[in-house]
Amino acid sequence: MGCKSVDCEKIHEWVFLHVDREMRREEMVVAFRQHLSECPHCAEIKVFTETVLTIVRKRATRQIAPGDLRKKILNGLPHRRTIPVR
Amino acid sequence: MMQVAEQAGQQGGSDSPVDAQLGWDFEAAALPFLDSLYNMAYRLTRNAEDAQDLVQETFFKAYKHYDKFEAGTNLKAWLFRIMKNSFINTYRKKQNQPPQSAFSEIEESFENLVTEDPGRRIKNPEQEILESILDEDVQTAIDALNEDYRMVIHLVDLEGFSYKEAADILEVPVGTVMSRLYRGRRMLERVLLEYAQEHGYLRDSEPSKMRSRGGQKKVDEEPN
Repeated sequence: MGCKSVDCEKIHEWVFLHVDREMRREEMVVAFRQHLSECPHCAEIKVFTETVLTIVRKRATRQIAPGDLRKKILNGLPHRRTIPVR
Repeated sequence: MMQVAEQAGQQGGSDSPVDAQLGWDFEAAALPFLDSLYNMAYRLTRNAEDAQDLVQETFFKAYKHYDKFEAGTNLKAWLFRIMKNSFINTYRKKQNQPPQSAFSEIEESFENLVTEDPGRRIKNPEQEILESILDEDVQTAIDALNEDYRMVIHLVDLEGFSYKEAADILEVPVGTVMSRLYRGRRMLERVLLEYAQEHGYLRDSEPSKMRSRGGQKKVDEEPN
């Protein structure tokens, strides 16, 4: 690509920082956004990355703790020994 | 099955540093994280029985040492760190590791991926293809990752921990978290696209849609 102040390889590294909201330095944010505005390839990578992460975050199975696990834990805590678990 | 409850009784006996009030405080503060902890435990152990044991062990260890927890710091992260250490010390030894060949294939795919032609472009239809991925495919893809990548992806992507919090839980530098996230997520992308191909969303003859990452394998930490 070669037309930007920050090269594409660096931008690829920064994509996760951006989508994870971990890019804390303002000058990095500015450079990142400017690069994307000039580079359709990196802009597509950013959108693709966001798509994948959204899918993973939404669709990964979330296990719910079995009902009796809570009771087992509470029954095992010494300060509850004399008080029945509801 | 290990006798976790009996162990807990011993750990939280009369010589426990936790007094009754502190015990009630602990219960009120820690129990809301039960589902999150179980979810992580299941991700680590891959079965319900071990996950329950690991969660119980985590709670009882945390209870025993709750007087050492620094008020105002991140209790959820503290509990996750205890769980991680319990898993490493107790459960990892008996875990069946992912089939080595499967992981090797993923690693190999990753190595191929990062050395692909840098001029290769992504097509928008890839996003539509990924939208067609099944929930179970996502789960299988995460489970196929090795433990280090699976843990960091779970902490950041599913539990919403920051890089710093994940680093504190895993007791590794932030740069290591970033590096593992980078590699783990790239493997996930690759595997999900392969699932799409297997399910017919991508044609066999179609060239790989995966973009190049310019051969970069380690992400530099954001400069201070």
